[in-house]
Amino acid sequence: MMLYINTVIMLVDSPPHSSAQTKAQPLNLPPHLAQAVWSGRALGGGQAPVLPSGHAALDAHLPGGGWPCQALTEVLQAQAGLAEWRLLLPALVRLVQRGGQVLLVGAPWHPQLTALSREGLPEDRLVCIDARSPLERLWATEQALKAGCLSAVLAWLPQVRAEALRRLQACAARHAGPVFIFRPEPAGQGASPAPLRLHLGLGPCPHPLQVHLLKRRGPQHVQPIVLHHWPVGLATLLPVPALPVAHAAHPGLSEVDRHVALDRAAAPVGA
Amino acid sequence: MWHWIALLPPSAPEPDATAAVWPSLQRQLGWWALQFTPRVACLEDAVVLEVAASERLFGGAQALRERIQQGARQMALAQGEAEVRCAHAPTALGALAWARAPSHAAPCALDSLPLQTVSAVAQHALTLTQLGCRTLGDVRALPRGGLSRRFGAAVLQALDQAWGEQPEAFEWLTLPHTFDVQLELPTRTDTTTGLQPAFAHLLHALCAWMGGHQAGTEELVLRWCHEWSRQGQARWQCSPVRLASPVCDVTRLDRLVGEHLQRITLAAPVTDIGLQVHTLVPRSPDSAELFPSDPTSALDNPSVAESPAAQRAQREALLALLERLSVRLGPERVQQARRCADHRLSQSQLWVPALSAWRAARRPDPDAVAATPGDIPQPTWLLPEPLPLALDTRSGPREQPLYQGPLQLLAGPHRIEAGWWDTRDSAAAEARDHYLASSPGAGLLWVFRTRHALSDASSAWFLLGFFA
Repeated sequence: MMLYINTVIMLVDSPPHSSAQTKAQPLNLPPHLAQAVWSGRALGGGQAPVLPSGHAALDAHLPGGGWPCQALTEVLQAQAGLAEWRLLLPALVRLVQRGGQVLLVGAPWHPQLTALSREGLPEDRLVCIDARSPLERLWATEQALKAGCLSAVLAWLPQVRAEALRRLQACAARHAGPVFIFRPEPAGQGASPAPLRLHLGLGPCPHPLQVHLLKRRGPQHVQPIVLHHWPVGLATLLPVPALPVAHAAHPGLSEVDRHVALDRAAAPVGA
Repeated sequence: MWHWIALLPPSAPEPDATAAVWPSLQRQLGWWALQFTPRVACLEDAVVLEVAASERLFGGAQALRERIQQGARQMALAQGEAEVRCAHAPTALGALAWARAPSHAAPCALDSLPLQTVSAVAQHALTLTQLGCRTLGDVRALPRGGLSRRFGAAVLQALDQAWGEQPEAFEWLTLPHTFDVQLELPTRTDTTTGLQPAFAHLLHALCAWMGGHQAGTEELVLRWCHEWSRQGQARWQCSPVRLASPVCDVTRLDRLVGEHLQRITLAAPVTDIGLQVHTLVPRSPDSAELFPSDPTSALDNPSVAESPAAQRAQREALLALLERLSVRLGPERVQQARRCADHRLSQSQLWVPALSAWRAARRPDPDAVAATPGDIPQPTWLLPEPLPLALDTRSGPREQPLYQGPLQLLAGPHRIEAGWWDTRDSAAAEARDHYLASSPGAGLLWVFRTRHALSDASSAWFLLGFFA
């Protein structure tokens, strides 16, 4: 007896506004078959676990609803060291609460621990690996992926080649936590083995995060996702347009904090 | 009952000059077997051990036998030797006879074993065969008086001991207190990669010795001796290897020693190597776990992550990783930070090697800083040195600092004046007004203006960190 695995590509013409209806009325299939059918319109999901990113607007567009574990996530940036923590901290805090560790390989600057521990990342859960040359960075990243401990690996690899990335992706398959590879913007021109690629930028003042999903398992995503997320204590100091959203994001701020912040903002500025 | 186990390594070549310092596989097996029972002895070319008192601890006679058998085979395979033969019997000589027997099929009685299996009988095997004896049972059937007169008392004594009719006496094996072995290399070696297989041999012996002690080590000393300095003991070169946690695992030690050797440059070809361990740390035994967990499941299920076994596995894996990174990159480049109570950002954290931080973390730290919730915004990235900012000269009398575009000051000043009490270091004194600034190109910045303008500086504005 022979078994065949069939891939059927079905093109269903439907106007965009009826997508909710088609989701509600799936094809008339027996349940065991319906599970195996993956509609091209839906986001892909995998067997691999995901780590919720902590940004609801972003989770809605990520396959599986979070950062993929056991796979690379490639983050392209015009400049390293401008917006990483705001994007990743909510997820990293969640990982640390599960007993995980955060490893930085070749970070552009020193992390500032008072700010990070205020957000929930204690200093003993953070290890900085000061690898300088591209080979050292690759080696250290690979060792971190092979170590078999629960950790999030954040690696800045500005000069990595595609075959080295493929090797890392193979190593990441055995790694329990998420892996973030930070690369410069021009790297987006080439192909990458990472199943999730995104471009991270900053909007105009007060600089919300702008995430552009370049590649994911699922349909292409065009519109950039704007994330209004600021660290504790900073939201109150920002100009007025950001305030409502920021207050919603940090309902824990007391009235006293706001007064202090406003006093500061009203203080004379400049020489 | 069947309390004796014999481990028979493949027959070694005749002992040569190095045998005095280099422990043979038989000796290593003996050291290793001491973790199961204190009653271990070397009998002829085998190791015999009496396990009556330990059977219950290790989960029954059958489980213990299988465990010993498997462990001994792994040790022999790792050293490139053929298989270790194992057998069990009510007496030590009987177990040895069974281990030497050509096939292990149908262990019915010692009577059916061939003459070669007991060495006292094997000496007279030719004569006995001519008498018509094929098996040990045939020899025992001969009249005792004649047998004793013709072949000596040793034959009868050995047979009686094997059958348990006479008591056996052994000199039990004891472990040396320190480990210091040397190995003469077969050829001169001038690369450190060539030394690694030789060190791997020594590490196997070390792990057997540590296994007997039920302990691990935190520091070992690699030694090697150059060709031109063989006469003088003082010419040995030493290189200590420090470990983050007590280790008794050959693969982890081997990997670490390999990384360590890569950092060493040899001055001349090496003829001898050695390995020393002076201190031992008791090993905490692994507790048995009903459902073994892997790190992936800990991510989904917090209760798995909280189990002590998962925490220990996580700690072990992390320490092994930090060790490898520290050995290759240098301990000062694998860093962890300690926070200090200081308002100056540059003084508020101290970077220390991660390995020493982990060692220190076993004791509660008296200087631990409680998280100070403050209203001061704190940047998440910190520049190693403040970066002087250029000023826009076209903006008239008002100072306009630039960083990827003109900066817009959003909040401030936040004044920090500290460090004036430090008389040793005048540069530590800071008097700064900090501002939260927005740059069109680089987002939110933490900048400061020095209050007392430096005489030689062109600008009083500096960039200190990013709100990334």
